[in-house]
Amino acid sequence: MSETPLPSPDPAVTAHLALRDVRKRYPGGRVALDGVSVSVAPGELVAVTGRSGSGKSTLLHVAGALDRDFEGEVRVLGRSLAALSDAEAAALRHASIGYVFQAFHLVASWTVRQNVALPASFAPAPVPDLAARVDRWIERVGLAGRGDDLPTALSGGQRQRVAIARALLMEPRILLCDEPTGSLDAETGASILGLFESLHAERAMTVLLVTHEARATAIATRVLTLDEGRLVDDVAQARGVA
Amino acid sequence: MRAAALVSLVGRDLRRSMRTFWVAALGIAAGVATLVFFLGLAAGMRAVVFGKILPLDQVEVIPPESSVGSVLSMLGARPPGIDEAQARALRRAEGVRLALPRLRLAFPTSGRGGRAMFGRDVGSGEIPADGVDPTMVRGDLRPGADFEDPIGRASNRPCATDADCGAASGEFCDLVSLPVSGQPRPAGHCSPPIPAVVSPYLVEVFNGAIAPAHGLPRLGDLLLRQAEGLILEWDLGRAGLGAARQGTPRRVHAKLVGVSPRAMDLGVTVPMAVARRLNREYASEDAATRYSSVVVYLRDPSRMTEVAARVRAEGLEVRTRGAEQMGLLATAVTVILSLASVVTVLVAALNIAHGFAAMIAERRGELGLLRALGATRRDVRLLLVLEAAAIGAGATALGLAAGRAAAWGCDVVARTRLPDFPFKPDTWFVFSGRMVLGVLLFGVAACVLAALRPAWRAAKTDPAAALSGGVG
Repeated sequence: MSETPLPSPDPAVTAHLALRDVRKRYPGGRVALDGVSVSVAPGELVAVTGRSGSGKSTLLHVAGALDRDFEGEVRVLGRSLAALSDAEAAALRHASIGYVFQAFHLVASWTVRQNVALPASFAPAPVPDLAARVDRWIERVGLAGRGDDLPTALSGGQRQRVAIARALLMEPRILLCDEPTGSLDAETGASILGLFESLHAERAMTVLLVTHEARATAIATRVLTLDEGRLVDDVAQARGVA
Repeated sequence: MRAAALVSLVGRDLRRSMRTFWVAALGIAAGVATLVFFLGLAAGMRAVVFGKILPLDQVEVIPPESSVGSVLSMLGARPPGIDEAQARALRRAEGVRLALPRLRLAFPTSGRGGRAMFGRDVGSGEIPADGVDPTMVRGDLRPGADFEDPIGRASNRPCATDADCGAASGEFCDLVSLPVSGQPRPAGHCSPPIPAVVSPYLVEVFNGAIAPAHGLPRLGDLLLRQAEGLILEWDLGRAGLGAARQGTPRRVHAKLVGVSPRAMDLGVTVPMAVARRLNREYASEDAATRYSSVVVYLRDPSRMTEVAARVRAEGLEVRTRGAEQMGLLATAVTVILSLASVVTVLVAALNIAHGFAAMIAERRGELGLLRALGATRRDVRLLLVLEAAAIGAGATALGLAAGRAAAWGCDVVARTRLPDFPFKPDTWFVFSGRMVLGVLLFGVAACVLAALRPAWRAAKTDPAAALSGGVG
């Protein structure tokens, strides 16, 4: 994948993700985030942990410009989400953020190749050598030769690899993962985490990994812990310590 | 979102959508098929009724019809008529393209002929006739024929039979009085036949009613060309219902020289000079100079009411032959049948709306994913609306094809199973490009409108909430 140039970081941006005093209240009054402030530097692999309902996924949605109905300030690559129009937020998501979800969210009736190529549909101009780029990513995630298969013909781990290839097709600077191993068995989950680790090392991406699994926090360089919507712990670590 | 990418996504989604929408799409197709069928039928009927039977672009202006006038006429007073000044005023009236005076023969006639063509004479105890200006029918005459009063060209050689005049001379033996059985044949003189034209209406009536009833061949294009040239023995001043008030009944010859839409509907039309001369001989000077009617051709059929009002203001009457009423009736029937089809399409469109609402609920996670990958709300709306438009276009095209096929089937059945009748058309349907385009747009618009609300709601989907569920 080395022939595709990495996005050049803006030297003025010291944090790829910056949240200041972010509060998120759902209709009905439940508080999901309660005054969270955190900054994620370029190239960090941050694990976000906590119990169910602690606000992990909400933090990821807010940081990824999927949910812009919050109080406080969120900056992504230096740009305040509050100042963006719907189209600008969509463009930011398209160009700079990749998402991987626990539920994969693949279109069952499309082939692996069509699923991986989907983000290119929203590019402002045709993506050069799209077919070759798609095939390279399919190969990179370990699915060479499966491009014409339907997701229904793949195992859970393979489907998550397809989702990872789709998330990385537009070469985002930030990768947001919401429980990516949550529905996989231990062995498959470990191989997916290994894939994240190697991709992070080779692409120098900023990764925010929401998880409640200890094995997932092991690959992180920093671990944030949420409890009832509050950030209760923020620990930098060497990989493999958890 | 780029157009090419949008089209590609729509195309890919359509394959999935058809599983959800095929029933609703069939509903749209059925509604469109009936709609186009009825519209085509209505247009076809209008073309026959108003193109051939009751032309909407012409009205016949007649003298005021009153029982007092008729009684006075019977008592020898001046009969009702339209004088030359009134005819000239009609020609100059606003909205009038052409005004064609007609002079009815004001005395009884009868005739027979066609032996050479049918093997026996075909006759009528009453032959209505009128006269028109030759310029009015000149374009409808057979090649080489003229439409003038032949009296000046007659040799007037004495004769007893047509053979005495010689076939090469083109003259026939006109008798000075009508032959009476058991008595010597009256004296005659050789004279060219009077040129006459008949209307396509009369040909249709002959083909549809008279020919089948009498075992005669229909007058198709070939026979019709042969019929032009047919000689009619024409008895003037006496017919089945009585004799003329003045003049001596006698026998002349008429020659069919063409078929013209400007000829009288049921009868024969001769040169105006002949009509004047014969009316003078058998009726009166007034009958020779005052027109029985003037056919007014309109520049714009929609202005018929306006022109009719102006004519009535001049003290004349208008005989529209029910064209206005037929037009209203045809429009009403078309509207009712079309409304039924439109309702079918709209019910199917409601199905489309429900289908879209269900599909959007089913694809909620996918729509959230599209938003996460960079789709704007507008992209999502466009995607769904275009999908609806594509379903509408496909279903409408299918409906159009089905409607046309049904029309073709009806035409085949009508051609092969229905007996001949006057004005039986080759096709009962007229499909104009504008109609087809309008129906296509209607089908597409119905589907698009049905999908608008679900599409708007889908575009408002909160991607974070949508992605908390899962597909795949």
